[in-house]
Amino acid sequence: MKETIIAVVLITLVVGLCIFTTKYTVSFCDEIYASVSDCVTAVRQNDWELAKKHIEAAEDAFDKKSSVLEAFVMHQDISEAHGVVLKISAAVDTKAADICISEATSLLGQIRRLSESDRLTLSNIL
Amino acid sequence: MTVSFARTVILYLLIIFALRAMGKRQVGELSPSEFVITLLASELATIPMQNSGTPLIYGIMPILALLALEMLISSLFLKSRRIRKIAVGKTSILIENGKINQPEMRRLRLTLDELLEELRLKGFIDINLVKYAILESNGELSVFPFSKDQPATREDIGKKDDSTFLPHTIITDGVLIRSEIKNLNKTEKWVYNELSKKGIASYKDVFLMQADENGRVCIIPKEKKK
Repeated sequence: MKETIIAVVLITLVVGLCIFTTKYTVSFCDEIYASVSDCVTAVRQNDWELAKKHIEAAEDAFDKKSSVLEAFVMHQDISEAHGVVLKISAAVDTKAADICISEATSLLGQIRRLSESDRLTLSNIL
Repeated sequence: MTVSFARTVILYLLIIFALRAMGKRQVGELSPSEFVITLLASELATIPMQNSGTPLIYGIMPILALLALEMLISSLFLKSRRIRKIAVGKTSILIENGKINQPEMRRLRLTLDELLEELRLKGFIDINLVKYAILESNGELSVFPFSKDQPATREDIGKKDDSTFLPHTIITDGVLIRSEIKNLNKTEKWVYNELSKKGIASYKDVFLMQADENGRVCIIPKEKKK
């Protein structure tokens, strides 16, 4: 009976942790995705101030959440994405629209992969 | 480097906890599922141990999941014989009443050489001496000779049963274990009496003292440091 209770507690713990990590990763990715998409829209509209505001929001999200995120996402994936955010920020500062849009497109792809890879879908399981 | 060390300590403790929670059985006595889980757990622990870029949880989560599943399945084994049969397999009788069970050997893909080797390892050089040979679910072969070839027991030679009791360790390396005195239904005074019979003044001078319910006492004094 004791073993069964320990097993049930362990399974609950593991499942709970899985749900938490998935939700945290997905919410983080959604936040970054929204900020970067808004930044790209602002760049296309030539509103550099708004673009700066959005990319700074993405940077803030990375600064605040990357330490927790590193506990359950491959460190390399996070540092790569963070690096691209910094590149976009630099491009916004220099008002280099082409670099900004191309880097943002690549970042959106990375973020989507990161978010999708943790979802409980049949393709991910298989 | 310190990160690697810290990760190794955490994973080591986790593996020890996992193996301890799985039970006290030794590697040779593990069931197929336990054996596979032991291998998997140790393999899973090495991934985050070697690569500090991999989150520790990638090792911890699957190990805990495996442990929990193993514990649940073990509980189910206790409740259902059918589930146990599916997961662990059943025992196979390879020799029955001295006759080799050839269909069973073919089913298990076991050669005669392998059977003879196992019998030799069990101390049976002649297959004719074996009445039963049973392949247990953990892969061990149990061998039972014909009764005429079995060693004589005390009863066979008309000797009375000499009950053996488990000795209680009363003193170990100068430390008196009071709970064991109580288990033996004796008092501390009795211990001192036994020690004085051997000319020992204090239990601190005793390396080992054991006693059983038959009244047998063994006292080994500490050797003086040179």
